[in-house]
Amino acid sequence: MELNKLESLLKKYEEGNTTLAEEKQLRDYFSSEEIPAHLRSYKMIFAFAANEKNRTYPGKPQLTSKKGQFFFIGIAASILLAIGVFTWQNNIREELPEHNLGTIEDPQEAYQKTKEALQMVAEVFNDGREDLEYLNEFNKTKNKFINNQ
Amino acid sequence: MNQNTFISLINPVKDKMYRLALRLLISKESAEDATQEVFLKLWNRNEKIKDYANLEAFAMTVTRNYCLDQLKSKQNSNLKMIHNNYESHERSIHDQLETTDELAQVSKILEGLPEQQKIIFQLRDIEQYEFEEIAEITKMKETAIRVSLSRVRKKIREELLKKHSYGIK
Repeated sequence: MELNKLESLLKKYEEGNTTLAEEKQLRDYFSSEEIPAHLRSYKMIFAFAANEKNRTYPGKPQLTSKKGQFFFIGIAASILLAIGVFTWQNNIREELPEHNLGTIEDPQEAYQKTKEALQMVAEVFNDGREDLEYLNEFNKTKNKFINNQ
Repeated sequence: MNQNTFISLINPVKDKMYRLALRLLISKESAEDATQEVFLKLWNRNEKIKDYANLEAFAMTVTRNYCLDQLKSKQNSNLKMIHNNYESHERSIHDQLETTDELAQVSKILEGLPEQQKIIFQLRDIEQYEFEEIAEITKMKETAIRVSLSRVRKKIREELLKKHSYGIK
């Protein structure tokens, strides 16, 4: 392209008055030929524009919202959790009557059993009390010292 | 309209939508999210889309509006941070080119300009839309578009000259 024509085109370009066809001429010129140093700034602008046009959208258009997916996953998770807690509590309730708690119906037998149980507790209690003899020994020794003073 | 028809209609426009979003939001992640959101918006209105004679212009308008809304909203405060990541990331790609730094400079200059001018530059000098189409997308008058375009073109060159003093020879 002749320099005169080029300069006038560039002026028109800067005024925002070039047509697309004229802008294509400019693009072609700046992409192929050796550019005079004083026009290098234009080359940068056209090179930048060309470079930017090569960018492409990296994903694929999706017509379902990601937010929506998480929303449903959330609902599904809370339903599962609710079912889990519900069945777990039901299991506990069912287990209780299944255990034989040893309830005795006959009052006489119940009295006997209770007595046995209390007796056993008392024996164990007394065993424990024997060990407290050590404490008496300790008290004796302590009193000895106190009395000596 | 079924999904496949919709996707085949939107496919030729999707890169342009993404690039416009990228120009405005700067971060790649935000631009991708925005583009995806706009697909959904369009799909949800697909019954009405038949009425819009020009789907491409409509898609671009929705993208533009969505991005401007994003910039206004609070999420905007996060953008600056992501923006820095983007810069360093960009460099590494550009490094393969000889003119890397200079192209990055144009990008930087453009970033500093008002949204309106970014949009106009994007639509005209990068996507090469006719003025009529730009008027339809931006709902601006053609004369206003030309004025804005002239400003942004001059401004970029002016800034480049400041940095390099090209042409002083």
